[in-house]
Amino acid sequence: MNTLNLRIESKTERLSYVREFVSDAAKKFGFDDESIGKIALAVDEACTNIIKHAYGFSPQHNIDIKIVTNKEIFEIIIRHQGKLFDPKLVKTPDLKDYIDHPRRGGLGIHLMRLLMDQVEYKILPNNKCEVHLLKKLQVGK
Amino acid sequence: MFDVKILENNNIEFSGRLDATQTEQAEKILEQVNTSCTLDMKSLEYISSAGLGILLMHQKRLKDAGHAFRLINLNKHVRDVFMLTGFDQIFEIM
Repeated sequence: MNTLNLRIESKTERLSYVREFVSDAAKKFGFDDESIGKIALAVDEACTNIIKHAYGFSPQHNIDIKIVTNKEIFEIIIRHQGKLFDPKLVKTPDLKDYIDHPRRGGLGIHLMRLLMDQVEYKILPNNKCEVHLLKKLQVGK
Repeated sequence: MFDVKILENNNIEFSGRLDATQTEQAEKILEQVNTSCTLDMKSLEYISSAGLGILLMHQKRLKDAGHAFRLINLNKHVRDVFMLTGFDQIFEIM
C-alpha cells in the first residue's frame, strides 16, 4: 500500500494544484488519460463543495487530501473540519427541473457519482468529515 | 489559467480551464450577450460543474429571449463531461 498526502488552504485558487497532484498520481498508477480526467474532475468537485458549503468560502481552513493505492484500487480521501452535511439528502438532480430553473451548483455530487466507482462520506468522532472517492484500475485495458 | 474573449459577430471564445475560480470572469462576458451567439471551446481544456451551471443559466436566458446559444469545437474531455451529465441533450453542440 502506498500513500501520498497534500494539504491545501480552502480556496478555489488551489483547485488547479489539487488537479495536478491527483492527475500525476493517477498517471503513475497506470490510468489512461480519460480516467485521469474523470478522477481529477471528481476531486475538483469534492474540494469545491467543501470550500463552498463546508467552509463557506472562508479561506483560513485546511483541506487534507490523501491518496491511497493498493493493488488495483486508487482511493482519494479528502478530509475537512467544516460544516457537516448528509449526502443522502442530495438527490440525483431532475434534469428537466434543472433546465427550467438553472442555478449555480447542485451538480457536483451527482457528477462525482458518475465519474468514480464509489463515493462515500464518513463523519469521524472529532467533528472531521471525509469524502472517499474510489476508482479501480481495469487491468488489461 | 482561463481566458474569455468576445470575437467578431458577437461570438465568444473560452480557453484554458473553467473551474469554480473562473466562473465570475466567464459570467461577466456572458452577461453582455443579448443575441444569438456561438461559443468556441476549441482551446477550453477543462470544465467543472461550476462552469456547466453558468452556461446553462445563460443558455436558458438567451433561449427565453428567442436567441440561440451554440457550442462548437469541444475537446474530448469537455464533450465527455457534457455527455455524462446529459447536458449534450440540452445544448446545441456542433
